[in-house]
Amino acid sequence: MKIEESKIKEHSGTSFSVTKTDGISKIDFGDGKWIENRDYYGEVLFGDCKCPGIKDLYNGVSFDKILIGGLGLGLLPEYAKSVKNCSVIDVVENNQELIDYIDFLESPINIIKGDALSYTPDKKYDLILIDLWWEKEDITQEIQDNIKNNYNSYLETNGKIILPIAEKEL
Amino acid sequence: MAVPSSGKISLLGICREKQNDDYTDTTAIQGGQGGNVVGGNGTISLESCATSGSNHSLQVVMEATNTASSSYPNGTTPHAMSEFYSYDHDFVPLSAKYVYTTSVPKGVFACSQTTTTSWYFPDSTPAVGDQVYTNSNGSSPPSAGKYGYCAACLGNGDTDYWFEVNSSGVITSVTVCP
Repeated sequence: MKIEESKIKEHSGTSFSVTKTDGISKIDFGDGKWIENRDYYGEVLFGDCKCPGIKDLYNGVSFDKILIGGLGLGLLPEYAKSVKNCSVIDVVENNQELIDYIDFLESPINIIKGDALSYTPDKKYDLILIDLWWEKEDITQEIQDNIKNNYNSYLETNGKIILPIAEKEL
Repeated sequence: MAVPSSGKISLLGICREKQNDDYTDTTAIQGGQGGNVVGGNGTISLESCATSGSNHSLQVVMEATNTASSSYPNGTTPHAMSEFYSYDHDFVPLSAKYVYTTSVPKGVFACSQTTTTSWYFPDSTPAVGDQVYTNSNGSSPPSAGKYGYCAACLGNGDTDYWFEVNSSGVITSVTVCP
């Protein structure tokens, strides 16, 4: 499940650019950090793949209310809406330029300006999914501990905090 | 450096390629019996280069011909120096791996993907520092990026490792898929 290409505009900004090649949009944050508008993004990070290490994180998990840390190109909230049929989809993002640019996501997706590592929710969620990093080596134990401490009390019963890139549930 | 592919070539150069792995390497040529050409413990000949053995007692015993090279002498008479054009004595054939060749932003996205074609590695176990090529003759490195490969596939299959190459096509990381 990717974003409908016609909704994505090319962009040249201060913190990122968006270009289209062969009809596929690519958001580039520089330093080798980029995301393309492709189906695999939501499929893999939500475990809908032949990837046991991530798929197993979602075993027995059902979720309707989700908090996503990191907006990116909007692929995860769009997947949560269109494939997972979540009724509450909050996204925490601290890049105002990115928030302003991603204007094509619709209700029930709600984008919140804030730091996903320290954001204080005003509600509880079934699933908190943090996608701020490019590789698992970027996610230190200290970061994991801080995330767990920050969000643990904002989980519904049987709720989970998942860091798919780290293949971890906190 | 292999034997040139055309033009004038020398018997001494051919001998250097056979014994020193380099057509232009002027290191004293050591024969199989431990002597060297300069010291007089054997001579070189087109026959000894082409057949590897010492068919005549005074000839340096050459290393066996590397038949993995794209070009190599056929070892049968009449011998000809032209048979050595492009001969590369230390050529090591590249090892093919089935690869998912779409560059991905995060390594996990290259995992469990169906491979699409073969790329070529120095051996069957890709490792950091290995030069990767997209063709079997080793002339075309891939673009920098993160890709996946299948470790044991004999045809296209699902990737179980992802790896990253730099702008020269050299592997900078190899990671088993989760």
